[in-house]
Amino acid sequence: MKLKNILIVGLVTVGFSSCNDYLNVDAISKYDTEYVFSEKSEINRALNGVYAQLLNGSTYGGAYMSTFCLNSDVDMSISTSEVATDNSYRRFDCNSMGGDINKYWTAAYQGVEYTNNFIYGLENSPLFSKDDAELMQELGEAKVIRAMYFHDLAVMFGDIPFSLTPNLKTNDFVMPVVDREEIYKKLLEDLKGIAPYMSYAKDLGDGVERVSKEFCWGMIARISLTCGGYSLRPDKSNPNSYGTMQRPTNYKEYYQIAQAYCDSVISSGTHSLTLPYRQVFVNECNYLVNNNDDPIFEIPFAKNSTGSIGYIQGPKGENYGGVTSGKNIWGKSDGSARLDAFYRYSFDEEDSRCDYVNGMWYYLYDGTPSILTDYTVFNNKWSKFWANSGNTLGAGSASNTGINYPYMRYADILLMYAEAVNELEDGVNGANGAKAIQAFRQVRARAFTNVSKIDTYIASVSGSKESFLRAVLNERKWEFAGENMRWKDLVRNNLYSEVLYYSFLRYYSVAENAAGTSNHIEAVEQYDGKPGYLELNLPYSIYYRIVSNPNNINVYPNTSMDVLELYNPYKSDKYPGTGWLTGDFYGWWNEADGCPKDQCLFSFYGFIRGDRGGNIFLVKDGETYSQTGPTNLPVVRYILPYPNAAIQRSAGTYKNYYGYTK
Amino acid sequence: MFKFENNKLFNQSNAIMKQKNEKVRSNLLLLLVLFLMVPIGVFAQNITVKGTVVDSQGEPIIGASVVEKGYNTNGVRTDLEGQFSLTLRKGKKLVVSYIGMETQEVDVIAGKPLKITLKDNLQALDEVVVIGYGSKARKDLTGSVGSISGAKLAAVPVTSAAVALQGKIAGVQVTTVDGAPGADINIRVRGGTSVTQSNEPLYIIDGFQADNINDIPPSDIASIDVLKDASLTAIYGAKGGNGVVIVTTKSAQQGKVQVTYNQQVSFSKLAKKLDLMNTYDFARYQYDWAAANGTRSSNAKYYRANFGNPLDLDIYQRATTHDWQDEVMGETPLNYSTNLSVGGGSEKFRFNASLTNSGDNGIIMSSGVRRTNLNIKMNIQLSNSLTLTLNPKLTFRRDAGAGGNNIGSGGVIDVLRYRPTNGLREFAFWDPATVDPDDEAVFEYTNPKSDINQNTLKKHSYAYTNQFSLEWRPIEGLTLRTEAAHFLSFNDENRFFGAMTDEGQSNKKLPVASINNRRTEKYTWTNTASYGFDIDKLHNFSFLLGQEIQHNQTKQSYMMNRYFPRNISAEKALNNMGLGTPWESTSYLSTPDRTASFFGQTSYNYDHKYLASITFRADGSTKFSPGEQWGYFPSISGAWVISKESFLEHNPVISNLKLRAAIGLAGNNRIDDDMWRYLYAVNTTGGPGFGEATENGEKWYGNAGGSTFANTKIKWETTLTRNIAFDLGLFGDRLNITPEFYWNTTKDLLYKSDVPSTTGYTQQMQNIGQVTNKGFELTINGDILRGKDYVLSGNVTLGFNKMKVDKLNDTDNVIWDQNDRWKSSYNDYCLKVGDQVGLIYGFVYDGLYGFDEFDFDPNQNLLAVPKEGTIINNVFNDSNSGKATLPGKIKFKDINNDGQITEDDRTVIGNTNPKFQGGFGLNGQWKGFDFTANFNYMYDFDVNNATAYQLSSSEGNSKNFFNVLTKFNDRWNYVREDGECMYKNTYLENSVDGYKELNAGKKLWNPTDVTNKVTHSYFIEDGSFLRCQDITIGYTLPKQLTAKWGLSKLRLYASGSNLFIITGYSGYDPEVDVQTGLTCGMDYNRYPRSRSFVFGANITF
Repeated sequence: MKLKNILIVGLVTVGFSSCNDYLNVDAISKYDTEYVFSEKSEINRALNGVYAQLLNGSTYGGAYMSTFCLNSDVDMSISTSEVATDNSYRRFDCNSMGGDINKYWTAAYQGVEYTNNFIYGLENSPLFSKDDAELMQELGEAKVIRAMYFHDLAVMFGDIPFSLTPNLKTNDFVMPVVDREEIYKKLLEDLKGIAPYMSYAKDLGDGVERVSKEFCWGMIARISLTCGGYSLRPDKSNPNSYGTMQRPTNYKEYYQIAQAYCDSVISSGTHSLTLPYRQVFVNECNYLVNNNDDPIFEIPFAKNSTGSIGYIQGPKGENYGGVTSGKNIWGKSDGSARLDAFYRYSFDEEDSRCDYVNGMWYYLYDGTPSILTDYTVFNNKWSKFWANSGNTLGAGSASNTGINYPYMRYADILLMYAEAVNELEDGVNGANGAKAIQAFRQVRARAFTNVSKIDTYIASVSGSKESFLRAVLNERKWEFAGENMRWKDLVRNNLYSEVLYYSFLRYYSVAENAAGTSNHIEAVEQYDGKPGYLELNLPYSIYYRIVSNPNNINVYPNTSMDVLELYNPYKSDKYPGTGWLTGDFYGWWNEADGCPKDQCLFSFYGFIRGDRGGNIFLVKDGETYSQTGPTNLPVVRYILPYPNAAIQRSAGTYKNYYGYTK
Repeated sequence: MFKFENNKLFNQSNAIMKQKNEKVRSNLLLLLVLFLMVPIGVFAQNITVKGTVVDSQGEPIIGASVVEKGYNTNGVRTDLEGQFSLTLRKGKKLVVSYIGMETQEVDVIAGKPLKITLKDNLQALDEVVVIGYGSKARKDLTGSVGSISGAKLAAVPVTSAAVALQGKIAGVQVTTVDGAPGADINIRVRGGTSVTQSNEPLYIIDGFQADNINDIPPSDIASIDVLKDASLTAIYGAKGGNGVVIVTTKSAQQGKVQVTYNQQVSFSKLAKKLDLMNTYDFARYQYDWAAANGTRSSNAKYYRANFGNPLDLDIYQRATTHDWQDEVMGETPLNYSTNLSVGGGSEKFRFNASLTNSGDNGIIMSSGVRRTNLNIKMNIQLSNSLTLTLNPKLTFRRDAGAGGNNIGSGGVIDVLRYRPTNGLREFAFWDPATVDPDDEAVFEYTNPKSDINQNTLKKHSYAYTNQFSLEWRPIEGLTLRTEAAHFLSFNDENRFFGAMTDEGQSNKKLPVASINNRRTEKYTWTNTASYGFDIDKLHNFSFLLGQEIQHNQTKQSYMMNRYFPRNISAEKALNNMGLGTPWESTSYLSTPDRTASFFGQTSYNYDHKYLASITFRADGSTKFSPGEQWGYFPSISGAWVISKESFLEHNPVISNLKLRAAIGLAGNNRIDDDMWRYLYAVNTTGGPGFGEATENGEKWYGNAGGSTFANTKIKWETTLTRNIAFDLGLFGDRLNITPEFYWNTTKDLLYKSDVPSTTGYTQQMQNIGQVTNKGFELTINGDILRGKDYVLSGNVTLGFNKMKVDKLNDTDNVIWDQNDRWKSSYNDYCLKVGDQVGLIYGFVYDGLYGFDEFDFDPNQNLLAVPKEGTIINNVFNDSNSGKATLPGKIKFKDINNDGQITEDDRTVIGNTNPKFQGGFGLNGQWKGFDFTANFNYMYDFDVNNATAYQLSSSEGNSKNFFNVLTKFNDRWNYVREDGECMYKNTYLENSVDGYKELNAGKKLWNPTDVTNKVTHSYFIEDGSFLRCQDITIGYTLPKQLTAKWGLSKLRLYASGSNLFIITGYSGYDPEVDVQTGLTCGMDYNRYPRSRSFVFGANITF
């Protein structure tokens, strides 16, 4: 018996002492935080992971500039459903069940967690020191990207769950919902702290594809303006209420910050608007990165791997049997991110941006151009067709263009500066007025060749705070099509309701006009300051013909496929004679029901809509009502609901307001 | 060389002393001295015994083992005449045994030849059962064991060990995934315990753990034992939680070298064909699809271009119908299996070597498995008390084809749906010069046969297992054993996509090929000490103590190249990867999956009448974080042999009655590695494209778990099992009945739960909820007839099992899920507190919308406008013929009475759990003939016949022209005989009346109208079935005859498997993953089962 006991004791002691070592296993092909943050090359790879999250199709890789680029007088998506839906975000008609908001939410918070993890890992790394410029720059990059996520989330969802701690270090999965002003303040503090440690884009190996000091400053300015501007606030006592538009009482303090940090960017002199407007975007489509021109931060999509810029934008390109053929070696293009049909009429005739951005025809699979007669036009700012033949993705390609998205441009900085000064100094006649005008002028000057025209225009708008603000917003409107800016500019200045009201009426009245007369058309023309332009001058017939490629990127950025020459894109004219084909536009009258077609009735559904009986309704707190005139318009419910899945898992902590009852 | 001497004690201790150091020696001596207290018995003189062993019919038994009792190493085998001669060394008793026969002890009288008649082993009460780390007499069991003897296995030629288990043991459910050769086999013991993690039982082959038993040649198997309750499985700890299947292969026997040769050939055939439209009906139906809704649509144009003028469809009356079921699955492949085994040896060295080569070709073209197995067992008696066993095994397996899901690019369903005619192309010649060759190639390629040729998968797997054990019996009753198994396997998976496949098309229309190499290394090292003794033969004790470590690690390397020359063959591309352009290449070494364990067991019985056993095991696993690694699994069991009590002794009816009860804990850790810690993994795609410097973007670190968050707190899932059973033997054990009840509760289920997405993750492995399994099992077997030269016996098994969800996590009381094979618009399965697992949710079919529910509005081109009160369908997509709510379209029941069909109108429409299941069999012998028939059945369970759904729909029909079931010849029609579409036809007078007349009394919808997947009750079918698994007739040639040919035994047999199935189910076969996980019973893209006929011979030299 004794032997057995000894054996047992021996076995057990040997067993137990070696056992814990035995069960302590390494994951060879995976790495723990300690290892990743112990070497600079590995830290850099972890930072790549932070960037990789930006490329997600549910956020900046697609949905940000399409699904959630809300309808306005610039960006436009047509909708024909006469009933409420789960997911028509762009027409302010959705509920918490929609899949896209959940995807956006999940992907954005995943991005946040990556930044939180990176920042925590780096700050606790043995290598970390405030004197290490390289690591401080990387810390800054993650902090700015984190601010991007939170800023965009707060703009879209209002007050949101917010935490700067990685989940591994917290015990509670349910982050508390924080008031948006608190969030912005925290972010501003965070960015102001790190900005001095960051480098200019010109000094970074990857230039504006990385977060630079200028971008950090720019984000401070952008967050400040958002914070100081209007936003939709919930009525927590009445969950059916859409809420009210409010801005902080001390909003000027935030405008002050915006002005100061825009000024820092401008004074640093590291960016300019030297290249022609179109060249900035054509370069992006050709994977050329300019570190000292307009772009301040470009989201670094990778060719054939991520991103849908230039696939959703630009002319549609059909394919056949999975490929394009003949002269068309560019593959399929979707062309779904489009512009308001009347956007192009708002430009000055000599504005070079107009012809470049507004695309009115597309390609068949063999490269034959074909006219688009629709309720919207293509946004030609980026297109995979703009890639020269060495950069094409191939005839079988579709999305994953790898074309970078300019999340922030210098033009934005200049115009934010002008807007901030105008607000702070009640116009542009104060201490910084001249600088504000100069900033404004730089943007406009790039679009025009005729200098005297710019001066005249500036003189005409700089008289009052009111008129200069309008001018700045208009300039932004012409500058930033497709960059998910317009609706945010309007919200910030509490002009969204008004602009949407007229955007709806433009479609509605032109449709009515097609049938004879419209009661609304004059009011619209008056608002647009162009009497008669819709009623008398709208080109119901556009004459066009196929001509060979002019081989000049200043005329057309694709230099090999045939193009359409439009005879009268902006004004009605007489038929120019043989050889011209006719495209019929604006046939928007529903003969059967005697009303504008559904596209004109339901595309702004959650704010304003028509019925087939000739009535127009506004929507206030979920109820429709009629009114005449643009005074006392209801708020636009642009804020999105928290996704249902998030509410379900919050143990009762998260709650939707703004009338989102489902 | 060992010499027997009377002074055994001295010799033994000397031998040991040589090997051990002083300290151990003194301990040992002390121990041995202690043992001397127990009387060892009187030693006898050497006696030589001669004798003959025969069976109940008086036929000599060849190869029976004759061993001196209490002295296992001294033994011989009977020869061709059943005769033996053995010199006894100390005792007076012989133990005579043979597989399938009752073991007998015989007293020896010096000089007198013995005639020993072995009885067929029918009651098997004395048989030895292999249980955890040892074996036990069946009569001493306190837990539930189901067994199949090798004799039973040998009678029926089956393709695998698992198939042999089918329907033979109550409570053990064996289902094959589908009919593919070498298809995975699901074995569930008592319905499984976990709903969320794997329910695979633990497999032990010859004492060593294995992943599955698919690759053991059935002819190698000596017996299979299935341990069902925790009192027996607890010794295996966590791994045994789902039951333990123990396979013992044939062992080396001492004696003359014996050669056995088994050969069988078989051919198989598709067991059932689905009834699909012929060319003419198909062409008419397709016109219906193209012309529906009356518009001269682009569909109609395209139809005309491919099939001609709808008025001329008569030409298709004479056109060929391509039956793709015949062309692709119509092969009758010839299969073979050859097994050669050689065994024998001396008392010091025994060996058995078995080589098996089998080719199993599938009924689907270019699919099949070829297996080569070499199994060598060597038994070396190093000394009187020291035994070494070596057991190397080699397996080589080649798979071609990729199962029902991966035939060509779309699976079996694409074969079924493929058009039976290519339309006008069949009547004409297309000059290659005048058409786009790519366009034509696409048309050519899409046919299932060329698809399969373009899209291939070949797998090779080489496995090498080396097992060894060293057993030392220093003293009577004490066994010290160390055993180790080392397993190495090399797998490669070769995939080729031709130029015309989707994969090829998206890569410059050029072929793509990939090779995935995997190397797995595993080892197990176990040390046990067992000790048994008795006091006065009444108090029987046994103890077991052990320790074990296990390790498992896999290395993978993967490469994928593209842009191969356009017409390259799969073979050439895969063997010349350099001809393509490198695309992806990675390697990966998995985190070692390790377990460390300690275990112990104490058993006691009083006179084999009152029995008790206590087991305890501790398992530490690397699947959990330090602190949560250890799980503790105790169990206790007892039995009472009532028939041994005085009041039942010598009862004329009840010959055996035993009551058994057991309770114990089991665990489960079958989750992925590293779920408890946050780790980074490197990603080569999807990274930022700084300067477009790297293809696919820069490399980046991301969470190794993707969107799954680490959880440091996860711990063992545990199951509490309770078991109560009777063993009843009647009429001298001629009839045996074993009813058993069990009740298992599994808590802390390991489940990937959803977490708030604001964390940056969507899921996390958590311990949630609780489920219970309750069930009843019944096993009956007995002799129906028994006579001098005939015997007929039968067996019946029956099992009921019910699994219920008691609790889920805190936030959900419902968890929805979906089957991966066929995803409808909604989740079709759910886990709901209080409900059974495996319920199908969907809509209730309510016939078709009738004309009386609509008005035909003359102002809207005779559009059918739903009347007030007509239920509106919001779940079906609109189709060619218009809205989802129109006459002739499928109508669902409005469960919540809100006048609309929405997601909320779904309800339970099917239960995939059989009410009961089991099998029965008959086997008999008459003179040289033997006969076996086995049947299995499952009663009252539902199957979602999604294959039929797809064949009743036109999903994706545009430009593909999919075929549908023949029964839709009697469908709702949109088009009149003359090709005129009747719905919304404003050109015809009274078209509405004509339309009504055309469809009067129609009961079946038009497949045109179904364009998306919506689970509804029409396709939920009862799967109850009774299958004739096999019928075998064999004939053993008379010994006198075969002996002349130098053979000791020659048996010829013929067998048919899957001969018939009685079922109301309309698909190929209702047996599709029954009770496996959450989403079972989905009949979609399954490799159809075949019927096969086998002819074979067993030859022993």
